[in-house]
Amino acid sequence: MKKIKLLALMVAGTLLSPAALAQTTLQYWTLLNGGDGARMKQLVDGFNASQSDYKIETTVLNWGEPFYTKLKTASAMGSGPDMATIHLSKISGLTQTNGLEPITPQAMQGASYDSSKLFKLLWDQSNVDGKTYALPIDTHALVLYYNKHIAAKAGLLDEQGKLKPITSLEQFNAALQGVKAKGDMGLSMETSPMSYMPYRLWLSMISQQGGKTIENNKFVFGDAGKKAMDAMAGWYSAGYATKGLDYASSTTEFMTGKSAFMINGVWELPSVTDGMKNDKLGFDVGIVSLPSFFNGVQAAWADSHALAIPNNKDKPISAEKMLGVTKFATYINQHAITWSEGGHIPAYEPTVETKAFKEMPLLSDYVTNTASHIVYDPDGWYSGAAGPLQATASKYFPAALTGQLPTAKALQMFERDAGKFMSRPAR
Amino acid sequence: MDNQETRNVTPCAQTQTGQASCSVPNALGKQLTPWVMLAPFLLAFLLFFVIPAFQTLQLSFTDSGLTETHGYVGFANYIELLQDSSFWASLVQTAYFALLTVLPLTALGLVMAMLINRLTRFAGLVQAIIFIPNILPIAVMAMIAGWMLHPTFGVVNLVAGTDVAWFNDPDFAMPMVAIATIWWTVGFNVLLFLAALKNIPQDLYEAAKLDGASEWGIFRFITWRQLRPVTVMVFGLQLVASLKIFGQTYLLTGGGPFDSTKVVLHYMYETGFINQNAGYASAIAVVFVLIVLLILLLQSLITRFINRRG
Repeated sequence: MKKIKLLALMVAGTLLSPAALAQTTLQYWTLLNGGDGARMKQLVDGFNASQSDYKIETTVLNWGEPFYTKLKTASAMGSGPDMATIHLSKISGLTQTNGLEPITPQAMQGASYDSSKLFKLLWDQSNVDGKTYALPIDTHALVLYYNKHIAAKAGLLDEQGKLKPITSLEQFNAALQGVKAKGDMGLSMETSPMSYMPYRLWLSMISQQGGKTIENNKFVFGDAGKKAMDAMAGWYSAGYATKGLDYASSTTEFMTGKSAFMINGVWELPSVTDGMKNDKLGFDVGIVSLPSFFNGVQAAWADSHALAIPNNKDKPISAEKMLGVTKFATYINQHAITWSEGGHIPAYEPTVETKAFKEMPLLSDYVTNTASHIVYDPDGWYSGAAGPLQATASKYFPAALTGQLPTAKALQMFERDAGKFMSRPAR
Repeated sequence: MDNQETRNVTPCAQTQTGQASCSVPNALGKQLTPWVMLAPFLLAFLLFFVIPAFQTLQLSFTDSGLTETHGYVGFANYIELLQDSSFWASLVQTAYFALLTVLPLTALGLVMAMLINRLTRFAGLVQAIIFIPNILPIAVMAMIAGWMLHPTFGVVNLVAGTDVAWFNDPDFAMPMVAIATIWWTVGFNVLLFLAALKNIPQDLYEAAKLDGASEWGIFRFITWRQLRPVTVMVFGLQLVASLKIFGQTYLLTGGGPFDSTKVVLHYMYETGFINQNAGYASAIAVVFVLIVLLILLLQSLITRFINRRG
């Protein structure tokens, strides 16, 4: 009996092992936590179940600066993952230090990955010097949330109950003043120390004025930067917004119906739609693209998640594994509707034309418009998500908005501190 | 040589078969055993401390990024450091923090230990309550302090009726970090002082009382004199710990507002890991170690002077 059992096990082993051997494992590092993390897990599980050639094993790491340091140091030792989620704002820095492997056209063809169907601005950002270094998943931009109840009180809604278009700073200020006159707070935006929103809005405003922030590793924002800072500081000094709230408090201020507008990223959409569905909010919320504050030009800061292949020292990725990465990217594009539930704008354009997408609450109001007017962080190894440039800005910009520092001085201190690392080459 | 042999020698032992087994291998064995026991720790110490320390020294003379070592630049990093106003500012911040915590922690530890020593009931319970914050990991302590001092939702502002953003105010940020640190670590000092207090022979107190000494006299000539070695040790430990802080300011204020709570080690971390300038960060590390050594040397000299004075 024992011998037969042993024989049976051996036969089973030999039958199963070719199948197990044939499957390629892809190590995947991501910094997506919370709702995004759950949705990514859904996509990974779906991909693993849909085919048997590849199996993705995910490691979830914390969002923020340590992720990129880990990725960099691990790949420098040759022990990085096969693929990782990166922000497209980091791509210039990562490519300058040879941190990523280019994705070959053959791999993309093999997976039927159609880059022509992606939103153009995202695809442009993913390519450096004619080579593709990332496969974009989405864009998450700054948008304007508005409380329909308070906005209606101040006469800001049209007949369909949607916000009348705001196309200048003066119009926006007038709207805020109107709201304040009716006894509500005008705007909610984070301005505690280490807040990122002021910096992102500042970038958007400079772009709207047709200016640039950085060129050749030097600051060139000039007057446009000053005007943008003054515009934002004006809202707080006039009392249209509460000074010094951190992210949680400012979002809560809007979600508890105390303010008319909230300038935040699209990622708050799930909590908004959930609140409206379960009647927990008590009022209806609408979302529009970030208004144009200058010259009628639209531009909104955005960043994107993308799949990239880190350059592991002495261990270049095999063609087979690269095909697995592109196949996963194709799968994500085809199931982009799942990802959109997080409020993100999918990179795959056809998704926004589908019936299912159009039926998703609120998304269609801003998606196509925003996706054509996004502006990424300036190029540079120091730039991008959780980089030193953002960190330095978050030191001084909130202070300028709350009046702790005069705007000119805040910009001066920002330039001085950032200049210290901007002049250094990419390492 | 002679001395050593006489010290370690054991009389030649007679074995079962009547042969003499003499002292030399035994002496070697006695010398070898402690080294064998210590070897694992020494190996780890060498691998994870000594060698990296020398590598840091080496790095400080180069112009290196985070993952690649680049060429030698001699003392350029050190020269830049001496002229770096942010570095000197961070030294001042560290000194300010030390000022706010070292003396209060030592004094408070002593006073609380003396008070607990007088308790007849619940001494153990009070001791435990004072010590419990000490077992919290730093991140937990920072969360608690952050929530209590939150400008909108914090209990401190609720009770005091204010709405000050404590960690956002340049005047209050460091004192608040200091208060949180004191709450967190005073329990350890209390423990040390209590142990020392219990070691003071009771007959000294009885004799003093018989002689009619005042409370202050008892404290000054008996308690304080007996506790002096422990106090010096606690003060020294506290000084080094306060100079070395990183976690409290990193978690509670992020070095803000405007770097007014950025201590040296935080500046070093930022330079190395965020600005990716590992060579310069190594220089900061080396200079900081030298400064701490200098301060400790000063402290031991002063202590010796006080002790000699009696």
